[in-house]
Amino acid sequence: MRKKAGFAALSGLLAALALTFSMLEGMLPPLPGMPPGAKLGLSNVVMMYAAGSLGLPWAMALAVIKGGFALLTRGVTAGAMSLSGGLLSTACAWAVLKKTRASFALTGMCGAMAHNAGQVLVAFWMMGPAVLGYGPVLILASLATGALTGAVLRVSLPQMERVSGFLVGKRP
Amino acid sequence: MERRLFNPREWSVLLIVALAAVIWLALSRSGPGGTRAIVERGGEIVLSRELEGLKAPETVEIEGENGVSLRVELSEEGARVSETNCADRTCQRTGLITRAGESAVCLPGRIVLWLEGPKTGRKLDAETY
Repeated sequence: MRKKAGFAALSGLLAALALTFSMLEGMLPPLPGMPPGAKLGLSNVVMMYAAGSLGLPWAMALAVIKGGFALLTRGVTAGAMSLSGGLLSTACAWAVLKKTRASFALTGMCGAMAHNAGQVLVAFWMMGPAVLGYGPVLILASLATGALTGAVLRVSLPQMERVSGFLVGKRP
Repeated sequence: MERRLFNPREWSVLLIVALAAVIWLALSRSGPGGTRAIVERGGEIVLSRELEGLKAPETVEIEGENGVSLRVELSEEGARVSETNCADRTCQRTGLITRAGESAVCLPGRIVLWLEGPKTGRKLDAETY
Protein backbone atom coordinates (compact mmCIF):
# COMPACT_ATOMS: atom_id res chain seq x y z
CA MET A 1 0.00 0.00 0.00
CA ARG A 2 2.78 2.39 0.97
CA LYS A 3 4.58 1.59 -2.26
CA LYS A 4 1.51 2.45 -4.34
CA ALA A 5 1.01 5.76 -2.55
CA GLY A 6 4.71 6.49 -2.88
CA PHE A 7 4.59 5.78 -6.61
CA ALA A 8 1.65 8.16 -7.02
CA ALA A 9 3.49 10.82 -5.01
CA LEU A 10 6.64 10.39 -7.12
CA SER A 11 4.65 10.65 -10.36
CA GLY A 12 2.97 13.81 -9.08
CA LEU A 13 6.29 15.30 -8.01
CA LEU A 14 7.87 14.60 -11.38
CA ALA A 15 4.86 16.01 -13.24
CA ALA A 16 5.02 19.19 -11.15
CA LEU A 17 8.78 19.44 -11.71
CA ALA A 18 8.41 19.02 -15.49
CA LEU A 19 5.68 21.68 -15.65
CA THR A 20 7.70 24.09 -13.48
CA PHE A 21 10.79 23.67 -15.65
CA SER A 22 8.86 24.19 -18.86
CA MET A 23 7.13 27.30 -17.41
CA LEU A 24 10.40 28.74 -16.11
CA GLU A 25 12.03 28.15 -19.46
CA GLY A 26 9.20 29.99 -21.19
CA MET A 27 10.03 33.05 -19.10
CA LEU A 28 13.70 33.07 -20.06
CA PRO A 29 14.80 35.25 -22.97
CA PRO A 30 15.88 33.40 -26.14
CA LEU A 31 19.34 31.91 -25.77
CA PRO A 32 22.00 33.78 -27.74
CA GLY A 33 23.45 31.75 -30.59
CA MET A 34 20.51 29.37 -30.66
CA PRO A 35 18.29 29.17 -33.73
CA PRO A 36 14.84 30.76 -33.46
CA GLY A 37 12.38 28.58 -31.59
CA ALA A 38 15.03 26.32 -30.07
CA LYS A 39 14.93 25.85 -26.30
CA LEU A 40 17.14 24.21 -23.73
CA GLY A 41 14.47 21.64 -22.84
CA LEU A 42 15.16 21.38 -19.10
CA SER A 43 11.88 19.55 -18.54
CA ASN A 44 13.36 16.77 -20.68
CA VAL A 45 15.67 16.02 -17.74
CA VAL A 46 12.60 15.15 -15.68
CA MET A 47 10.99 13.25 -18.55
CA MET A 48 14.17 11.21 -19.04
CA TYR A 49 14.28 10.38 -15.34
CA ALA A 50 10.58 9.47 -15.41
CA ALA A 51 11.16 7.20 -18.41
CA GLY A 52 13.97 5.46 -16.54
CA SER A 53 12.30 5.19 -13.12
CA LEU A 54 8.50 5.07 -13.65
CA GLY A 55 8.58 3.03 -16.84
CA LEU A 56 7.17 3.80 -20.27
CA PRO A 57 3.39 3.98 -19.59
CA TRP A 58 3.69 6.36 -16.63
CA ALA A 59 6.31 8.51 -18.34
CA MET A 60 4.02 8.76 -21.37
CA ALA A 61 1.17 9.78 -19.05
CA LEU A 62 3.42 12.56 -17.74
CA ALA A 63 4.07 13.70 -21.32
CA VAL A 64 0.29 13.83 -21.88
CA ILE A 65 -0.15 15.92 -18.70
CA LYS A 66 2.59 18.28 -19.91
CA GLY A 67 0.91 18.57 -23.32
CA GLY A 68 -2.45 19.19 -21.64
CA PHE A 69 -0.92 21.96 -19.52
CA ALA A 70 0.55 23.62 -22.63
CA LEU A 71 -2.87 23.31 -24.30
CA LEU A 72 -4.62 25.05 -21.39
CA THR A 73 -2.06 27.80 -20.90
CA ARG A 74 -0.70 28.48 -24.40
CA GLY A 75 -3.32 27.26 -26.86
CA VAL A 76 -3.94 24.43 -29.30
CA THR A 77 -0.76 24.90 -31.36
CA ALA A 78 1.54 24.84 -28.34
CA GLY A 79 -0.43 21.92 -26.86
CA ALA A 80 -0.12 19.81 -30.01
CA MET A 81 3.59 20.62 -30.31
CA SER A 82 4.28 19.82 -26.65
CA LEU A 83 2.31 16.58 -26.82
CA SER A 84 3.94 15.24 -29.99
CA GLY A 85 7.43 16.28 -28.93
CA GLY A 86 6.94 15.01 -25.38
CA LEU A 87 5.57 11.60 -26.36
CA LEU A 88 8.25 10.98 -28.97
CA SER A 89 11.16 12.14 -26.80
CA THR A 90 9.95 10.18 -23.76
CA ALA A 91 9.57 7.00 -25.81
CA CYS A 92 13.02 7.59 -27.29
CA ALA A 93 14.63 8.26 -23.88
CA TRP A 94 12.99 5.12 -22.48
CA ALA A 95 14.29 3.00 -25.38
CA VAL A 96 17.82 4.38 -25.10
CA LEU A 97 17.94 4.09 -21.30
CA LYS A 98 16.43 0.60 -21.10
CA LYS A 99 17.77 -1.05 -24.22
CA THR A 100 21.27 0.41 -24.57
CA ARG A 101 24.23 1.47 -22.45
CA ALA A 102 24.44 4.85 -24.17
CA SER A 103 25.97 7.71 -22.21
CA PHE A 104 23.84 10.37 -20.52
CA ALA A 105 24.88 12.90 -23.17
CA LEU A 106 23.78 10.65 -26.04
CA THR A 107 20.51 9.88 -24.22
CA GLY A 108 19.86 13.61 -23.88
CA MET A 109 20.72 14.22 -27.52
CA CYS A 110 18.42 11.43 -28.74
CA GLY A 111 15.62 12.78 -26.53
CA ALA A 112 16.15 16.33 -27.80
CA MET A 113 16.24 15.22 -31.44
CA ALA A 114 13.10 13.12 -30.98
CA HIS A 115 11.39 16.09 -29.30
CA ASN A 116 12.25 18.34 -32.23
CA ALA A 117 11.23 15.67 -34.74
CA GLY A 118 7.82 15.37 -33.07
CA GLN A 119 7.35 19.13 -33.17
CA VAL A 120 8.48 19.46 -36.79
CA LEU A 121 6.05 16.66 -37.75
CA VAL A 122 3.14 18.59 -36.24
CA ALA A 123 4.36 21.84 -37.79
CA PHE A 124 4.71 20.06 -41.16
CA TRP A 125 1.15 18.80 -40.86
CA MET A 126 -0.13 22.29 -39.98
CA MET A 127 2.04 24.48 -42.21
CA GLY A 128 3.41 22.36 -45.04
CA PRO A 129 6.97 21.66 -46.20
CA ALA A 130 8.31 25.18 -45.47
CA VAL A 131 9.03 24.14 -41.86
CA LEU A 132 11.48 21.42 -42.96
CA GLY A 133 14.06 24.16 -43.49
CA TYR A 134 14.41 24.30 -39.69
CA GLY A 135 15.46 20.63 -39.65
CA PRO A 136 19.25 20.90 -39.83
CA VAL A 137 19.52 23.81 -37.37
CA LEU A 138 17.31 21.95 -34.92
CA ILE A 139 19.47 18.82 -35.21
CA LEU A 140 22.60 20.84 -34.45
CA ALA A 141 20.84 22.61 -31.56
CA SER A 142 19.69 19.21 -30.21
CA LEU A 143 23.28 18.01 -30.01
CA ALA A 144 24.19 20.98 -27.79
CA THR A 145 21.06 21.09 -25.63
CA GLY A 146 20.88 17.29 -25.37
CA ALA A 147 24.45 17.09 -24.05
CA LEU A 148 23.54 19.71 -21.46
CA THR A 149 20.29 18.06 -20.33
CA GLY A 150 22.11 14.72 -20.18
CA ALA A 151 24.74 16.33 -17.95
CA VAL A 152 22.06 17.86 -15.72
CA LEU A 153 20.44 14.42 -15.42
CA ARG A 154 23.80 12.88 -14.49
CA VAL A 155 24.40 15.50 -11.80
CA SER A 156 20.89 15.46 -10.34
CA LEU A 157 20.44 11.69 -10.51
CA PRO A 158 21.70 10.89 -6.97
CA GLN A 159 19.26 13.41 -5.45
CA MET A 160 16.35 12.16 -7.55
CA GLU A 161 17.22 8.56 -6.67
CA ARG A 162 17.24 9.44 -2.98
CA VAL A 163 13.72 10.92 -3.24
CA SER A 164 12.38 8.02 -5.28
CA GLY A 165 14.13 5.54 -2.97
CA PHE A 166 12.35 7.13 -0.01
CA LEU A 167 8.96 7.07 -1.75
CA VAL A 168 8.92 3.73 -3.52
CA GLY A 169 11.78 1.86 -1.94
CA LYS A 170 14.83 0.45 -3.70
CA ARG A 171 14.61 0.42 -7.46
CA PRO A 172 14.38 -3.03 -9.01
CA MET B 1 28.88 -1.10 -15.82
CA GLU B 2 28.15 2.45 -14.76
CA ARG B 3 26.50 4.72 -17.33
CA ARG B 4 28.90 7.51 -18.20
CA LEU B 5 28.30 11.16 -19.05
CA PHE B 6 30.28 10.91 -22.29
CA ASN B 7 31.46 7.80 -24.05
CA PRO B 8 34.30 8.25 -26.55
CA ARG B 9 32.96 5.29 -28.56
CA GLU B 10 29.83 7.31 -29.37
CA TRP B 11 31.69 10.21 -30.92
CA SER B 12 31.69 8.66 -34.39
CA VAL B 13 27.87 8.47 -34.34
CA LEU B 14 27.61 12.08 -33.18
CA LEU B 15 30.09 13.20 -35.83
CA ILE B 16 28.04 11.54 -38.57
CA VAL B 17 24.81 13.16 -37.31
CA ALA B 18 26.46 16.59 -37.04
CA LEU B 19 28.06 16.23 -40.47
CA ALA B 20 24.75 15.20 -42.05
CA ALA B 21 23.05 18.25 -40.50
CA VAL B 22 25.83 20.58 -41.70
CA ILE B 23 25.64 19.18 -45.25
CA TRP B 24 21.82 19.50 -45.22
CA LEU B 25 22.19 23.09 -43.98
CA ALA B 26 24.83 23.95 -46.59
CA LEU B 27 22.72 22.46 -49.39
CA SER B 28 19.63 24.38 -48.29
CA ARG B 29 21.63 27.62 -48.19
CA SER B 30 23.34 27.15 -51.54
CA GLY B 31 20.23 27.50 -53.70
CA PRO B 32 19.63 30.41 -56.05
CA GLY B 33 18.58 33.76 -54.61
CA GLY B 34 14.88 34.20 -53.99
CA THR B 35 13.11 36.33 -56.57
CA ARG B 36 9.53 36.27 -55.31
CA ALA B 37 8.23 36.55 -51.73
CA ILE B 38 5.17 34.52 -50.90
CA VAL B 39 3.07 34.73 -47.73
CA GLU B 40 0.71 31.88 -46.92
CA ARG B 41 -1.95 31.89 -44.21
CA GLY B 42 -3.46 28.54 -43.32
CA GLY B 43 -2.13 27.07 -46.59
CA GLU B 44 -3.57 29.83 -48.81
CA ILE B 45 -1.40 32.37 -50.58
CA VAL B 46 -2.31 35.84 -49.34
CA LEU B 47 0.62 37.74 -50.85
CA SER B 48 2.95 37.12 -53.76
CA ARG B 49 5.37 39.88 -54.70
CA GLU B 50 8.27 40.04 -57.16
CA LEU B 51 11.38 41.28 -55.31
CA GLU B 52 13.49 42.19 -58.31
CA GLY B 53 12.99 45.79 -59.22
CA LEU B 54 11.77 46.93 -55.80
CA LYS B 55 13.27 50.42 -55.58
CA ALA B 56 12.76 50.87 -51.83
CA PRO B 57 11.85 48.43 -49.01
CA GLU B 58 8.13 47.83 -48.88
CA THR B 59 6.19 46.87 -45.75
CA VAL B 60 2.99 44.84 -45.75
CA GLU B 61 0.74 44.11 -42.75
CA ILE B 62 -0.49 40.53 -42.55
CA GLU B 63 -3.31 39.42 -40.26
CA GLY B 64 -2.83 35.85 -39.12
CA GLU B 65 -5.00 33.49 -37.13
CA ASN B 66 -5.45 33.64 -33.33
CA GLY B 67 -5.12 37.44 -33.30
CA VAL B 68 -1.52 37.37 -34.55
CA SER B 69 -0.44 40.11 -36.92
CA LEU B 70 2.91 40.59 -38.60
CA ARG B 71 4.66 43.28 -40.56
CA VAL B 72 6.60 41.87 -43.50
CA GLU B 73 9.39 43.90 -45.05
CA LEU B 74 10.25 43.21 -48.68
CA SER B 75 13.32 44.50 -50.47
CA GLU B 76 15.54 43.55 -53.37
CA GLU B 77 17.84 41.64 -50.96
CA GLY B 78 15.06 39.46 -49.56
CA ALA B 79 12.22 39.46 -47.07
CA ARG B 80 11.84 39.45 -43.31
CA VAL B 81 9.25 39.76 -40.58
CA SER B 82 10.11 43.12 -39.03
CA GLU B 83 7.44 43.18 -36.32
CA THR B 84 4.87 40.88 -34.74
CA ASN B 85 2.57 40.87 -31.73
CA CYS B 86 3.17 37.12 -31.27
CA ALA B 87 4.85 36.23 -27.97
CA ASP B 88 7.20 33.65 -29.54
CA ARG B 89 8.69 36.02 -32.18
CA THR B 90 10.25 33.00 -33.88
CA CYS B 91 9.46 34.41 -37.33
CA GLN B 92 10.96 37.80 -36.47
CA ARG B 93 14.12 36.27 -35.02
CA THR B 94 14.64 34.26 -38.21
CA GLY B 95 15.79 37.57 -39.72
CA LEU B 96 16.29 38.35 -43.39
CA ILE B 97 15.73 35.44 -45.77
CA THR B 98 17.44 35.73 -49.13
CA ARG B 99 17.64 32.25 -50.71
CA ALA B 100 14.96 30.41 -52.64
CA GLY B 101 13.19 27.93 -50.36
CA GLU B 102 14.14 29.76 -47.14
CA SER B 103 11.22 30.55 -44.87
CA ALA B 104 10.14 32.37 -41.71
CA VAL B 105 7.32 30.56 -39.97
CA CYS B 106 4.76 31.82 -37.44
CA LEU B 107 3.02 28.76 -36.05
CA PRO B 108 0.46 30.50 -33.78
CA GLY B 109 -0.61 32.76 -36.67
CA ARG B 110 -0.40 29.91 -39.22
CA ILE B 111 1.69 32.17 -41.47
CA VAL B 112 4.65 31.18 -43.65
CA LEU B 113 6.80 33.73 -45.44
CA TRP B 114 9.01 32.06 -48.02
CA LEU B 115 10.99 32.88 -51.12
CA GLU B 116 10.52 31.33 -54.52
CA GLY B 117 13.50 31.02 -56.85
CA PRO B 118 13.77 31.85 -60.52
CA LYS B 119 11.27 29.91 -62.63
CA THR B 120 12.75 26.69 -63.97
CA GLY B 121 13.40 26.95 -67.65
CA ARG B 122 15.29 30.21 -67.43
CA LYS B 123 18.41 28.73 -65.83
CA LEU B 124 18.75 25.17 -67.07
CA ASP B 125 21.64 22.87 -66.26
CA ALA B 126 21.58 21.47 -69.79
CA GLU B 127 19.57 21.76 -72.97
CA THR B 128 19.09 19.23 -75.76
CA TYR B 129 17.81 19.72 -79.28
